[in-house]
Amino acid sequence: MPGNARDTILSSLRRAPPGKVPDDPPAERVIDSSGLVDAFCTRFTAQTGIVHRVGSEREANAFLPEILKEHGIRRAISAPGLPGGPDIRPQTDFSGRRDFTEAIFNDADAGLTAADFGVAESGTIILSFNRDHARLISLAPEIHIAVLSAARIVPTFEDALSQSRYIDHPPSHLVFVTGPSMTADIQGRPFKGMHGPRKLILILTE
Amino acid sequence: MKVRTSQYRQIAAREMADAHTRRFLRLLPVRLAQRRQAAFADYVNPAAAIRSGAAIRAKSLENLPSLLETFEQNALASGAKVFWARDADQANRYIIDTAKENGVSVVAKGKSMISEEAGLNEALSEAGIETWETDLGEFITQLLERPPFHIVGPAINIPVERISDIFLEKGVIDSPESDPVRLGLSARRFLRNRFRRAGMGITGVNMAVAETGTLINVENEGNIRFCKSAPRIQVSVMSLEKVVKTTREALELLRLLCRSSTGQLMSAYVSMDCGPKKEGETDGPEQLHIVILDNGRSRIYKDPVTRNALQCIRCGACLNACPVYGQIGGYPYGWAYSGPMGQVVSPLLLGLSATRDLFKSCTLCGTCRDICPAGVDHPKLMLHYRSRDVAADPLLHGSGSSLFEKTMVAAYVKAASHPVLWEAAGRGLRSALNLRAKDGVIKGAPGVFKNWFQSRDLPEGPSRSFRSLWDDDPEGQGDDHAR
Repeated sequence: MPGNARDTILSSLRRAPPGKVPDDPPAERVIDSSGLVDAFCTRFTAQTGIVHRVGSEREANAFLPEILKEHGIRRAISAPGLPGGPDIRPQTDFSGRRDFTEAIFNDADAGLTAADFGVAESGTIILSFNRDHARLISLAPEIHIAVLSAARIVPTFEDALSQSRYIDHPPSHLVFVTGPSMTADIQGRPFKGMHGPRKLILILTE
Repeated sequence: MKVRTSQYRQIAAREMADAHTRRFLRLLPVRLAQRRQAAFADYVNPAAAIRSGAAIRAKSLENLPSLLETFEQNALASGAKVFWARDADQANRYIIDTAKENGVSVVAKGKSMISEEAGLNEALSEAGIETWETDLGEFITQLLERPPFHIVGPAINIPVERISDIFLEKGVIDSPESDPVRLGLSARRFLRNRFRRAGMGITGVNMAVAETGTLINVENEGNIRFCKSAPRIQVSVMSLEKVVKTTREALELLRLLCRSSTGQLMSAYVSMDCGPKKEGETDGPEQLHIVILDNGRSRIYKDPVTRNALQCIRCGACLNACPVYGQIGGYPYGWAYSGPMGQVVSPLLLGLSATRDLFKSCTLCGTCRDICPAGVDHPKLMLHYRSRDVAADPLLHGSGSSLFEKTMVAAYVKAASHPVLWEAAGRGLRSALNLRAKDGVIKGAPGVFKNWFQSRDLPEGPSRSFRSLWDDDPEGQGDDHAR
């Protein structure tokens, strides 16, 4: 019985004698002297991520069709609240999970989402998921386009995860994305797009 | 997974003669070790970074029971279900029952050492549930029914022709293929279909955060994200030592894990779950089951010496540093865990008598300990296993020493504590061995010495021993002797 297993395991652990515990502080890391945004962009592009820096959100909207064209994207699915267009269907368009899943697996060349934060220390973007933002949008299509405001770039993971939005309302799912999906599992030959997106594109608004 | 730890010598001999194994051992561990070192350069003091990781792991283990309780409380509050399993059978049965109750016929799995340890794939298949490993390397090893060659690249040594053959046989491709990238992409297409059909996704757990009830997974391919996004049920299997207290500690460990494992500042995807999907969310699991598996760990925990082995975070850096792994690769270790990681973990889980070659094949060079970001003292543990094995420790299933070994050790002790006997034995042995010398080298000897010469030669012994030279000339006057 599960109740029994729990109690047996915990009481067995509690009976163990104490051991020695060292008390070393967290290790210091080298502080990047270039600006926060530049440091972020350098590391983001080092992972083959593509950054487009634009002036404003409006500019991002105007720029989007160009990106779609450049990367040969005919159909995209977006999380609500993001720039739309004739080739971009918002997630809310789908009647249910089945419809959405079918479309995101089979019909979308790209997924368009917002990113919560950019993390300069590793060039990572943080995505969290909720009713307006399905998990598969940034995962199933070959291309993931994320939109991020430069004001949301922070130095470290701790700076991002200590924000009240995560503490007060922990999301059911949260992902650090550092570059596109990749593998080197056959003969050590690396390539992008193993299961997730092959390309990661970021529209960075100033 | 079938345990083959007792065939260590045979498999090692076979692997050392295998050209593919040799080729990959010259490349992979070296490359990963270089990348690891480069990635540590952004710590002001890399050694201090390693010590801080060790401190976090030791502290987490010290508070393990209370951290597990806090974790459980917070995980339950987030809407997850928590199941405690004493052993692999209980865990597997719970997962199979959950699958059956929910009408699941297809399962997609992320790479998870604990599920290999538990033999979960075999149990699911026996229960008639179609189970797919979805990490590319793990997918290949599953099709070939082999253990992982390396924790980071489970199938990295398999030649493309072999992969092409098995992919053809299993219907992953229609015609032979020799390009690694195209083979990988055909697996992508094949597995996408499984992600869509899977009713259940099963993953391991890299870390569990007590204060928030969060589960963390680290990967590069995105298959674990699929397992947590597409199916309606998610099962996360965690061995009970995975829990840390705070998000901050988890982040510190994540940095060390990614740098140590693949030389990345952060892996491509780090995903965190706090409960199942919330109401109104389009995708993600409707049910999140967390299986906390003991499988012998609470016994290992009881002794503060063996407890140290539970600090391991499975980064695999020790494999790349190990001179023995560098010669034989992952197969001889005979189970889910290879390299120094396997040498310290497997004996505790399987018993000393079934794993003697594992802890005896260590050279005690200590490189693994020096780079371990989790504070595992591999050489100390292996010496401990050797002594507990000789003492026939009942808890660790030590086998005791043979009559031959006992006699030899007793003879040695006698000789070493009696100078006259020592001198005589030395003289006898030297002249006996020297009879076999050819051109100043002894290449072999019969009987008890046979194994020693298997991979070594001995220079011909001098006509007189050091001790007798010393007795003649204690002041060191004779230059020819001093030289």
